[in-house]
Formats: sequence, structure tokens, C-alpha cells
Amino acid sequence: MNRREFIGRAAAAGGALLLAESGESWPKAPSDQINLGIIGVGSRGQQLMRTFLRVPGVRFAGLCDVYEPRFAAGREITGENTPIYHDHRELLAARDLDSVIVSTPLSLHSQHVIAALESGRHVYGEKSLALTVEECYAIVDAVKRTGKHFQVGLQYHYAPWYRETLRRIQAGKIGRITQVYAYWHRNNSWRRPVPNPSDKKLERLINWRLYKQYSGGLVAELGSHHINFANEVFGSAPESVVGSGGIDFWKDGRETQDNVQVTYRYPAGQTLVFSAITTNQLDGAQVRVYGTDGSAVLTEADAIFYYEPKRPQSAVAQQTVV
Amino acid sequence: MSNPQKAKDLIEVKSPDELSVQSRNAMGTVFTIYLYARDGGQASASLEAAFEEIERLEEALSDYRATSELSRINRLAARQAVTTDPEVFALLQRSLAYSRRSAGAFDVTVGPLMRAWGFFRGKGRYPTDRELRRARESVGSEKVDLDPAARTVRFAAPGVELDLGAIGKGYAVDRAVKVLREAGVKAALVDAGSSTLYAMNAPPGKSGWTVHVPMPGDRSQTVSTVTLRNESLSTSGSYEKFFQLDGHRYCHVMDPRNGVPVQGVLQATLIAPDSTTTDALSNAMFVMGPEAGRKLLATVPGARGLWILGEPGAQRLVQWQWPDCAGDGNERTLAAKREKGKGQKTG
Repeated sequence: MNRREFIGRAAAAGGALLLAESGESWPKAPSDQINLGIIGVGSRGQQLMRTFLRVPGVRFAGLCDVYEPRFAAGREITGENTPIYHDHRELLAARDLDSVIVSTPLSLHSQHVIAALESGRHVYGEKSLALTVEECYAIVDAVKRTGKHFQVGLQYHYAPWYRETLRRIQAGKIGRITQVYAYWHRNNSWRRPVPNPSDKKLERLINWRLYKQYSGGLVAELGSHHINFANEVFGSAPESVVGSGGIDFWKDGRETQDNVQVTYRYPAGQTLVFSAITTNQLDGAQVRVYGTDGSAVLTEADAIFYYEPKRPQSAVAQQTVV
Repeated sequence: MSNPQKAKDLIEVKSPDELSVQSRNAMGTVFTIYLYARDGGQASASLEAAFEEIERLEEALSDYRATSELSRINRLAARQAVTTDPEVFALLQRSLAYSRRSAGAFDVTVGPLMRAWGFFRGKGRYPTDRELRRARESVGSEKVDLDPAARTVRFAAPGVELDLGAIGKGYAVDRAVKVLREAGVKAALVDAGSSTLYAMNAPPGKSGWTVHVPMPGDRSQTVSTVTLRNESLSTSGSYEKFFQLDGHRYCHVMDPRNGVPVQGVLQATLIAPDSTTTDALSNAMFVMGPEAGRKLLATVPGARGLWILGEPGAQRLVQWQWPDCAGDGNERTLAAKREKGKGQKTG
């Protein structure tokens, strides 16, 4: 396996939190070591580090963050005295990097992704792509210009039950797909603890998801996974959207909404309904795909197919677990 | 399971600190976190972060979840060396080190023996000689090869499987405590299924967290009451789970060294500075019994141990450096104190 092949496999590993299960046969000579750098060693970045370190030959050659405690956390994960950088430009100036992970707040994605691509590195960037449409196009342009690999870290897209579900849907097993209902329901404040809450700068740094300057709120941070999957199911991007939401329960100074309900219309007359709430977790994170002959319900652990009554019961199971 | 309401009644609450309590299912048991925070906002965010850490570790270490890192290792390691992340690798190293230190009494490869005895189905049966022989061929920490340079795991025999059930909960408790410390929480008690807990700092105005070790078979009775501060306590017991065959009472704790369930030990409790240690070594204590177990505890800084031996109705207690017992190696017939529902319980 060469480094180019690695990028594809490692990216799949990070996105789906799964690893390929055959041929773990990368040579272990130092020349085949893959040196990664990471910009943003927060909770998501730390989880990505653990996942990438399950790929043979991967080593972290640089940790970049602006919050000092993240360096100790990152070094604990790598298990070694990994070089640290306070500025992403310093990290990218390091000569021994093959690829870069960008797991910073959404508003910083385009700056960091484009800089990493232009430094000649392949990039694994956390979702969503960027905060504004202009920034998204700038990333697309940078990928085309540099010819480097780039992948957005969308959850579960490589999980076997998601791939198998897509295969069955595309094979017509549940008929013509008309609706996708997607939920990300949790019962917590979506707020992370801040050691010193009187430090307002630190509060905004740690809880960046709650402030519009940095975050697209629940739709960008949670809905992006489901929206992209619906795009795969429908085979296109949506053409219109309506939605509502508000800061209705967690009135704690946040700027992004604590509940959203959004309806997307697709060109072929299909609909995605996405709901995110923070006051009840019954439905958890799941996607329900409704077709004329049946339904697929995808969770974080599996996918269950249900079939409509008009399908002959004597011939086909009414429920299948993938 | 701990009873938050009773605990709240018995712990003095001083403004502005308040006791917050939350329980969630994880790792096949119920985790409960009691904490004193600066305010409700810090409490809820800290609880969420701590439970998120526990959930992260369940996703990595569960042998029930097909998507876990441990399951991936179990699927592949008999065929090839499997690279894993430093955290999982370090926990496997620590597990094998405990196996060596306990001369095999603690063993994360014991799964095939448990299955042969029918324990995974919640019952028990005597395995055939062939079943026992085959199971033992797949059991033994020496059959797990760890290569620190490549960070790989490889099984030396087919059928080997890793089950971190006797150490993973303790590790999750330690990690949750780390999260709470980093969040600036003043005092907390993290309890995994009332079998492994860590007491972080002390409730306001107290010298520590009061913990009751219950009597095997009657949790309303207390064997010992201890005050813990920045220490862990873990209890291995199997009083509720046992089966009887041909006049023998077999518990659901396996002695990996001879392939037969432990007999004559009802409960083993260990206090030590961290929960990963108490979880693993309370299990080793149970298997080893007091004679060999005390030699093991002598090698663990800060360790204090308590065994309850015998049969129901004829229990006796043996201790090592235990806080409320005089002298070492003290053995006495058990006369449990009736102290119903006081403070946090363990068992």
C-alpha cells in the first residue's frame, strides 16, 4: 500500500469509525510511516486521533491548538511527546507531514483546510464543509487547484449497515423512496463544561457550537450527517428548504437554536424532514427511509427493514435486521 | 444500585454547592455519578461530559458491540497482528500485567471457560471433559502477544477472545473522574454498578465519602463502613449468581488457573488509589483467596482488602490493612451491623 491508497482507507476509517478488516499488511518500515498533523485537538479531534491510530503505520507528527490543555490530552492519546504548535502555519511548515486533519470550529474550516491543501498535504476535514457558501466554494477550488485528496468527516457513511442499506434501496427492495425522516434527539444542554466560566473568551472557545460567529447550530453540526445521507438516497441535493426553530428551553446565553425542524424538497418530488431537539432522547440519532414497498430505519448500531403489507407475507419476511 | 434519594438525605448540602445525581446504563450495568458543582450549569455540563466519556469507552471496549475496537481485535487477532490505538493497547498491557502479578487469577481471556460452564446464558452447567479441554486451549494471558513497537495485538491460538469486563468499568470510572476534575468539579463519587466506585475529594464539610460494604446476600446489612477520599473501592462477589450441582455450590466467578468456578469465597473488596486497579485486583482477590491474595495486595501501594469467606449462614471475614479492623490477617466470625440504606453502598 502506498500513501495515496492509505488516504482512501484511512479517511474511510475516520468517517465511519470502522477499519477495513482484511489485509492489515502495511510494511512497518519507517519509510512507510504515515505522519499526520492535526489542527484542533478538541473532543472530536481527539476521537479522530484514536481512530486514525488504529491504522497501521500512522503516527501523529504534530498537534496544533490554541487552548493549552489540549496538548496534554493529545499527547496522552499518541502516547508520546508529539510536537505541538500554537499556530496552524507553524504546523504546516513542518517538513515531515503527509496529511492533515482539520477539526476546528466550523468558522475556521475553510482557512485551515485551504492552507493545509496549499501546503501540499491531503486533508481530512471535519463536517460541515464550511460556514458560508463562499467558503465552501473556496475549498472546492483549492482541492481542484492542488489536486490533493480531501474528505469531509461525515459519520456512518462507511458503516457496513449504511452501505448495505443503500445497496438494498438502490436495488429497489423497498420500492420508490418518497420520504426520509431524520432525527437527532438528545436530552442535554449541548454545552461542555468550562473550568472557569467567568472567562468569557474560554466559554466561547469551548462552547463554540452555541455561538453564531463560529457555528451553524444544530442543522450544520448534527443535521449535516443526515442531510448528506438523504442526498445519497435521493441521488441529488435538495432544491428548497423551509424550517423553524428557537432558543426555547436552554435560555443560557447561547445564540444558536436549541431545537430545529427543517423540511427539504428534492427535485424528484421527495422530502427530507430533519429534527433536532435537546429536551428528549427517545428517538436518538436515526434515519427513517420510507419507500412505497417498505422502510429502512438506520440507527447508530444497525438498520432494520420493514415491509409494507401489500408485499406477500408468505414469501418475504416482514422485518429484516441488517 | 445506589439510591440517589437516600444518599441525598444523608449528605449535608451546603449552599451554593448542591449535590447532583444522575444514573445511566452503560457497560452492562448502571453508572451513577454524585457531584458537588458550583452551580446547576456546571453540574449538568460536567455530568454530560463524564457520561460521554463512559459511553466512548463502552464503544471502544465492549465485547457485545460488533462495532467496538475490542470486537474488531477479537475478530482479527487470531489471523493477523492487529494495530490498535495507544489507549486500548495500554489497557491490554495493564490487563496482562495484572495476570502476571496474580499468577493467572486475573485473566481477560477467560471467556471460553465462562461459556463452557454456561454462565453467559445466565445459568450454569457442568461442562464435559472435552468442552473443558477445548476451552482451556483458548484461555491464558500468555496466548495474547502484544508488540509495543508496532502497537499490535495477536492471539497465539485460535478461539482466544478478550473480555475486559473485569477491568473496563474501573477504567471508565477513572476516566470519568479525570473529566470531572478537568471540569473543575469540587467533589464527586462515580459508581459503576455498585461494584466499583471512586470517591473524588470530599463532600462539603466532610472528610470524605461514606461507603458501606454490604453483607453478601443481604444488602440491607453492612459489613464495614469506610470513609474514602481520592480512593477507589471495588467489590467482587457472586452471591446472587450461583448454581448447585451434586452438593457443590458454584459461583459465577471463574478460576482461570484450573477452569473451575471459585468455591468458598463469597465476596472480596479492595480499596486502592485508582479504580482500574481495584476493579481488576478485587477480581483477582476473589479468585486467589486471602492467603495468596494478601501477598498480592502487599505489592499494591495503598491497598486494603477484605474477604468474606465460607457459606451462607457461616460467613467469616479476613482482612488486609482494612480501616476498621485491628491488626493484619484478622479473622473473625461475621456479625454484621444492621445499618440500612446509609450513604453510598457498594457490593
